[in-house]
Amino acid sequence: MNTDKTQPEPLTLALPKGRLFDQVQEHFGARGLKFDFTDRKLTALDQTGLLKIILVKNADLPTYVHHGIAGLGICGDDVVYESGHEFTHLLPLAFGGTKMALAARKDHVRDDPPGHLTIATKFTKFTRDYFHGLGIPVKIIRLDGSVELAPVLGLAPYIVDLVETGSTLKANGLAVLETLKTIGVNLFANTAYYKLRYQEIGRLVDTLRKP
Amino acid sequence: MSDAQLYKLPQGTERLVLDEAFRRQVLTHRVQNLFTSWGYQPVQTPVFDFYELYSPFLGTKADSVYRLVDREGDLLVLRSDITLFLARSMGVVLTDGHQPLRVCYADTILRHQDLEDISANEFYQIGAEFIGSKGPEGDLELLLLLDDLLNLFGLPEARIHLGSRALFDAAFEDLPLAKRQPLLEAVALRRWSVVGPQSSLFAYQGDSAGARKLLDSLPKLSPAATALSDLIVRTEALEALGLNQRFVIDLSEVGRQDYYTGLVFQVYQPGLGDALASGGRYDQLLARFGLDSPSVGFSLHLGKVEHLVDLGQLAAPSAAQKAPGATLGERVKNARSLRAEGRNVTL
Repeated sequence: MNTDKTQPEPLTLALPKGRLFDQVQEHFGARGLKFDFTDRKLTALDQTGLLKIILVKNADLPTYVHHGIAGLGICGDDVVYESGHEFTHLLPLAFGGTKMALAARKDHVRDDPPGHLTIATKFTKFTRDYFHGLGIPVKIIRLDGSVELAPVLGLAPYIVDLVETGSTLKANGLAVLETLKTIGVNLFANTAYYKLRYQEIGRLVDTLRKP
Repeated sequence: MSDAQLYKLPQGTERLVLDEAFRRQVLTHRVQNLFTSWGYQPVQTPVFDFYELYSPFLGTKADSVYRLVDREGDLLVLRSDITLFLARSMGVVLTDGHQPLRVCYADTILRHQDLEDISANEFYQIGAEFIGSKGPEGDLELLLLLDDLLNLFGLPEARIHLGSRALFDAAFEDLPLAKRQPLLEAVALRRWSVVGPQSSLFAYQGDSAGARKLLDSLPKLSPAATALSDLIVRTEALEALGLNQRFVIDLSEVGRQDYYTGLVFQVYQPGLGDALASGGRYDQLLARFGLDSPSVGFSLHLGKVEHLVDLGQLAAPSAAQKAPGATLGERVKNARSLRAEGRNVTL
């Protein structure tokens, strides 16, 4: 373990490529933790040398943190839930929030045959657990993107997907039937990593908590 | 048999060959010598047993065990947790006259692992258990043995985080058991928004002096104060032995297995994404298998540390030299004398 006498190794943090990255970069930068990724590199140090940041694909992020390759991670609840891994919870972040919703065609009439609902989704674990928790059998069709197409083309009457503004749904003639869960973005840690470096991580959390 | 079958490996199996297997053997041997020197006797548990006996203890791990049906139609479970199989074996074999008893083990376990977890290295457990020990002496003996084991592995940076299941049970004694389980997970994962007002207690990490201050904030002689005080007393004893660096009080350690009743602990090593060893006190577990006796123990996943241990100068069999000599007779004779000097020699 690092003591105060030696230069501590930077904390490793995995960030998702894509929609969240810019918001994280801005939030960190405003609190003195500035970083940039140049020359298509996938790792970078922040200017203070406190953090080593690794850029990974959103869905892979929990895997990296689970194995301790990155000690810390930031991503949405939905991604962590699908991974099935457990992490030490550190800080909810105020940006990037969204909703997990059940949607169907605007003109959809609810006359499902008894037995099960057919749902197309990327979030298979969440969907199965959610509906089984309510005692509703579901048949799940796994898709990796453009889930809105499924009801339009007749693959499945329902979809479960993240909805931010709802404009994509609207453009495809779909509507939200029900919001299933509010999805937040969190900073979390590999549990073993947190245990060994809780003091440094505690200071980082305090810095990030600042308004 | 098709080629595809030949290359496919079932999830949850481990193969060690040649140098790797040799390392495991050497390390296991050294661990067993250490256990012996502490007065711990070896036990071997069966590879399978009746599923029904264990199902109440498996909790969330129930879906990772392998089950099979024997010729009489009974459902069996393959050994997935040595602590449970040991408790059952001790219940069958021991009587009150045997106690106290110190036992140790080194065995494979079999459980399913997800594709992603295949490198978790949880196939081989070593461990020790002190049966019939009540109070702080037993707890301290096990913790000191674990410290010695970490020293044997050459892991000065490994930290043993001490917590108390008794403290958790005392703090939430008003809640029915079914409602405690989600809270147990919430404390372990530090989800303070779920834990509520008790968060400031369970968030504590540090030395015994800081914990004493926390103790002052609890109602005197309450079950929670007693549980925390017990933990502090043990930690102070360890600190008095100069082991401040090794041991940390960490009240978010509450023991994820249902059978813990008192002290609980986990070992963390830099570079490992998961606890290396875990253990604690389970005073009611053996009674469930017919032996009403308190017990404290730990188990360690040897596969997680093997690559970190420097075994020093090892005379590996792969580096054996060929015996000199023109005839078989000469070679046998030379080989004998070289082996007597501690060399590895092939004919």
